[in-house]
Amino acid sequence: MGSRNKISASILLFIFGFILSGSVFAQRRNTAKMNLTCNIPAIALVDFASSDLRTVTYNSSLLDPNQVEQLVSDGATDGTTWINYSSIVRNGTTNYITAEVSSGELPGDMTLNLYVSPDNGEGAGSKGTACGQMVLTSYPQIIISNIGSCFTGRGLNRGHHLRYEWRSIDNENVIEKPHGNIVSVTYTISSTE
Amino acid sequence: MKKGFLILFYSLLNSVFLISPARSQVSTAGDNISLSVASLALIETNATSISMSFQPVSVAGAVLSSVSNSNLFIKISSLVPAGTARKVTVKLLSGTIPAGTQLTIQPTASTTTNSGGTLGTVASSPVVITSVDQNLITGIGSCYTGTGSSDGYRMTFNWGIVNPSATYGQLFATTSNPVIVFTVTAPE
Repeated sequence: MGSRNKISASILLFIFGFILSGSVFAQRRNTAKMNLTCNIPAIALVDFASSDLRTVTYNSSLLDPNQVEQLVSDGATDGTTWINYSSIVRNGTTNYITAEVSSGELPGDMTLNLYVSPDNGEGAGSKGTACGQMVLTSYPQIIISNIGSCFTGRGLNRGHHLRYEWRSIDNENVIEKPHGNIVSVTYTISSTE
Repeated sequence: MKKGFLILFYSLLNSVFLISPARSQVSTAGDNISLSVASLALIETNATSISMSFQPVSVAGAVLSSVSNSNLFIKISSLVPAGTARKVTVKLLSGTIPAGTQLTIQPTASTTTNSGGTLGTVASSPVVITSVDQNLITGIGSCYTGTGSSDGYRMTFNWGIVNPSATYGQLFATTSNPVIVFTVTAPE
C-alpha cells in the first residue's frame, strides 16, 4: 500500500514538473535590467600660472591642493599672474576663494592691494565673480565668490588675472620699491557647504 | 513496486492496441509526426550593476575627463521563425543620467568561443542612452552566445560631459542610480 502511494506521488510530481517546465518556457525572459551608479565627486582646486618669476614665486607642493601661496616682493608685479581653478559643487552650494597675508610683515606705512580681474572667458561653466580691488590683510577675505561647477583652463590668460600694488597707508600713492619686504599671500578655495 | 509499474505499463499498452480500430485491417500505418521548434528569446548579463565615477582632476583649471567601463557582456539565446530576425535594444528604465552628462553604450560583436548561429550586427557607433528604446544589435537570427561570464556581446559604456561650454555649469557633485534595460525583441 505504502509503495503504491509512493508511485502515485512520483507520477503526480512528474506531471507537475512537466507543467511547470512548460510554463517556464512560455515565460520568456527577454529583458535584462542593469543598475548603474554614476558618481560625480565634489572638486575644489586652485593654482597659479605665472611667468613673472622675478617678483612672484609660488609653491603649492607644501600646501593642501586647495590652497596655494604666492610670494610678493619688490613692487608691483607686471601682470603675468593668473589664478586657475577647477570646481564641482553640490546642488545649492558654491565655492569661493579667499586671500590672506600668511607670512611676512606688512610695513607699517603701506598696504598691499590686490586687483582681481573678471574671468578671462576660457574654460567653461559657472565661474566666480571677482571682487575687483582688495586691501590684503592677515585675515582671509573673499576675492572670488559664487563659483559653481566650472574649470578655467590651465595656464596664462586663463581664469582671473591677479595684480599686486604696494600703496602708501592712505591708499593714495603707489610705491614702487617697498624696501625689499617680502610677504606671502595664500589663496584658499573653500565650499559654502 | 516493480510489479505495480509493469501492470501499469501493460494495461496502457493494451488499451492503445485495443482502441486502435485499424490494427488488423491494413498492413501499413502512418502517423503524422509534428516536430515543433518553439520560438525562443532569452537574454542575460554577466553583471547586475555597473559603477562609474568621474576621477577628480589633479590640476587646477583642468576639465573632468570622461570615464568608460567595458565590464558588461550580454548573452542571448534566440530561435526565430524563417525569414524573421530579432533586435537587442536599450533604454533608460528609471532614474536619471546626471544633468550635463551623457551616457553612451557601444556594443562589440559577440565573442566566438562558445557561440554559434546568426548573431546579428552591432551598432557601428555609440548609442546615447535615453528613455526611448534604441537598437544595439540587429539582424539576430537563431543563435546562442555561450553562457560564460565573458561570452556574448561586450558593451562599453562611456560617460562624459556632452558639451562643456554649454553644460558644465549644470553639473553637480552627486551620485545617481539610473536603471537601464536591455530587451531582445519579438521576431519580425
